Amino acid sequence: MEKFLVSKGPYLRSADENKRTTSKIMLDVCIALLPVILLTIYKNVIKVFISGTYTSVYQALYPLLLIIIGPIFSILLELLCLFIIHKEEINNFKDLINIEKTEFGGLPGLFFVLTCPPYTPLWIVLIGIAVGEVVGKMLFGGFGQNIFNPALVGRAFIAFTFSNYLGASYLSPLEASIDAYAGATPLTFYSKLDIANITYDNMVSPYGGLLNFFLGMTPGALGETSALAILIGGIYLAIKRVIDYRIPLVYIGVVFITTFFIGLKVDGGIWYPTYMILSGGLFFGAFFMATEPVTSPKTPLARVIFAAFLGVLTVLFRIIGNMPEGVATAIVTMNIFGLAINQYVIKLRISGKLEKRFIPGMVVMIVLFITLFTYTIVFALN
Amino acid sequence: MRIRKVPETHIEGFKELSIQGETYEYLSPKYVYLPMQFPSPLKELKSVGDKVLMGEAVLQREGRFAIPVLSPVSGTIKGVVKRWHQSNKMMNMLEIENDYKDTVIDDFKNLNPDKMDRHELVELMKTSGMVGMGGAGFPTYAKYETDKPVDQVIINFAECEPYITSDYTMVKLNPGLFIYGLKYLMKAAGTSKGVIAIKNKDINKPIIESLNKHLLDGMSIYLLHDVYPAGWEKYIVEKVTGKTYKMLPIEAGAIVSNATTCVTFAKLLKYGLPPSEKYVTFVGDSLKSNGNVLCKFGTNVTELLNLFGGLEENTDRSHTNFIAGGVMTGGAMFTEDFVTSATLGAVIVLRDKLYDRVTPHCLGCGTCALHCPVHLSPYEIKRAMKTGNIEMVKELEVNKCIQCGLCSYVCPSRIDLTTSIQMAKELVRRMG
Ligand code: SF4
Ligand code: SF4
Repeated sequence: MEKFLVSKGPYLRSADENKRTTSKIMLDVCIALLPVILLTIYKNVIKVFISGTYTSVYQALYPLLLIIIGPIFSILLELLCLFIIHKEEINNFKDLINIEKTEFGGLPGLFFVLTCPPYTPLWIVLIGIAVGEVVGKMLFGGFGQNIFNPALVGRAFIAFTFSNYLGASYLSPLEASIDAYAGATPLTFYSKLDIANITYDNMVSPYGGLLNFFLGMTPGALGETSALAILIGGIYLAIKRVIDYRIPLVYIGVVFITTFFIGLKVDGGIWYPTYMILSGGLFFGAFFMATEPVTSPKTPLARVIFAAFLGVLTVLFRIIGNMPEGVATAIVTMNIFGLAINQYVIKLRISGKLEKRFIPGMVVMIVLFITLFTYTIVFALN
Repeated sequence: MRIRKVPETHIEGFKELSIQGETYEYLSPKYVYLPMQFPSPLKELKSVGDKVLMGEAVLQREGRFAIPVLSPVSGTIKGVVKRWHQSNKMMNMLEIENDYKDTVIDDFKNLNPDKMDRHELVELMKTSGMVGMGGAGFPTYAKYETDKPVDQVIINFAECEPYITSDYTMVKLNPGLFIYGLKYLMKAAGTSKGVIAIKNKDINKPIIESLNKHLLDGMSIYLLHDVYPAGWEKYIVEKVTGKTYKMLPIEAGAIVSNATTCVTFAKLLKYGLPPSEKYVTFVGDSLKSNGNVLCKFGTNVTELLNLFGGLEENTDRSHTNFIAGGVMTGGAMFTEDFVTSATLGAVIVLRDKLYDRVTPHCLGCGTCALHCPVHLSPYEIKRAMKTGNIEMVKELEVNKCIQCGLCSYVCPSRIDLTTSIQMAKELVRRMG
């Protein structure tokens, strides 16, 4: 009689029950991005149309074009890479598609464009995606094997290489028509200012108050401006347990606390830390990029430490390094150290030293570290 | 020693399937088969052609915890044949032909447990070859023969493997015997405290109620959470005693026995019936019907399968797993032509759901690590195995794995973590 199949146990899998599969997780990420995408379309396309400040329909629709081209281009590129890597196993197009189904190739492209200014020249976008896809993902072996967040690899690359081209591409035609927007985005504007000029009137008033920052009606990258839209998507992901709430909470919290102390040196207003967390892609980075499962630590404590360092680095890059893309650079940097932190925490977990008493200890350490760090910066600013 | 919180994972039980099904008795098989090489080579006490009584020792487990293996029926030893064992290996087995007389050996007749002292009860466990029927098959007497202080006997009635209702059926049909067994297990342990650890879930409510009515002095019921692996000995001992241990529950002052073992002990004391039968659950989407059957150890599964109508028509064997034991810790068999034993709780036949589906890589979500009851990081171990970093595998303390199967169960990418870790464990052990 024919033999029964002997497959690997256990024979009950939650993935088979269709409860929580990787495909579903990725789908949830796409769903969570919807509010962000809708808002950016409203802000960068619909509002521009209504205002009539555009010179051509192409110009008005350009941001939408980017959002569509991003994922498509990254899928095509990935198909090409996969074809080269798996040449022997692939007999027809269907095989290729089957492999691609488990690679989720559209996401890096989508994430990448969402971190780009709305009017980034197309060729820069394509180069950025290519670098992210190929260097950040496929060279490591594809989905699940990469160390760095592919979208951010691309983003950091274009930030360093083509920064001259990016400045002007932030403003929509509508925004460009407003004189008050002296700098490209609130943060690029900020990096040009002297510490003495850091005042509410200089930094927030031109953009119409902090609520505008929260709603996302300020100039900035496609997906990064609206804290509200990101929060909706982010909370959805946290509830669905796709992301760990600890990462955005600690990340944003640390930036807030650190800049609060720095703000004491500026003019002591609570507006300053609020402004700092609402601008420059911090929310987007904290909810969607730093939490990306492949490249972030896997254990709760490691995630907390990872996020705390992210906060510190982001502030460091922004204030000392004068880099508006502090978030992207910080996350890519921490992708390396995240692995080491994770290794450390894993061993603690196994050996049983990761006890309740240990965690408050870590928290105290982190707080101390941040305070020390803030004071250093405050002195550096003098 | 401090207790670390064990991650608790709820797994759907699918217990109704077999509870709602028929319950059969199949106690007169023509032949029974006793493995001669499991867990290690056994010594033959009888030879081919000998007549044996039910409860007569025919084989002897040797080594540190030596116990006899008794004949589950009375009859004649026909020979040594090759048969499939539940570990999916073919091995030599003693074939005993049933004379259908069920003549029990004199040793177990007219026992009077009230007159027996602790030592005699333990000795009886030894001569009757009792083993734990929860799965590991550890000799029962070895747990009770201790000079350390025993605070309590804990009955492991968690039955946390999905689908299986073998203990459930045994206790549900014999609540009085169950309590009777516990009474003398407590006596054998020299303690006046007995705790029945059972999962707090709806299907158990009637049992808990009826047990409550039967409870004797010193006995109580501990309600476990409906989680996996609630039947893990360490978990139960920690929950019930509030203490943890390194190697054996006795360090925490507890002796843990399985529910069916308890009833089996009662049957021996009360009716002189040597340990020879238990319920086996038959369940799965490829079976005509589901249910439980009380059968002799060593019964051929093919015969039992017929009671349930056999396999569904047009079952595609090459896409069906025929599982000996539970879905989480059991193993798939090549054939249904194997034999039951004291440790086989279920036969589960399921269509393979993975067929023709591509699974993605590990996405590094860390879910497997969060659910591992011993706090390992399965994905890291698998990665270290892949890169051949044995030092790392050791550092990740793969030897602590209890092979519960949870990591594979929870993984959204459906990665076979448990089998990899089993291999890693094996490798590390062989390298010393
Ligand atoms: S099988 Fe081993 S590694 Fe996997 S969850 Fe269970 S104990 Fe942990
Ligand atoms: S649960 Fe699966 S996908 Fe998640 S880290 Fe573990 S192995 Fe990777």
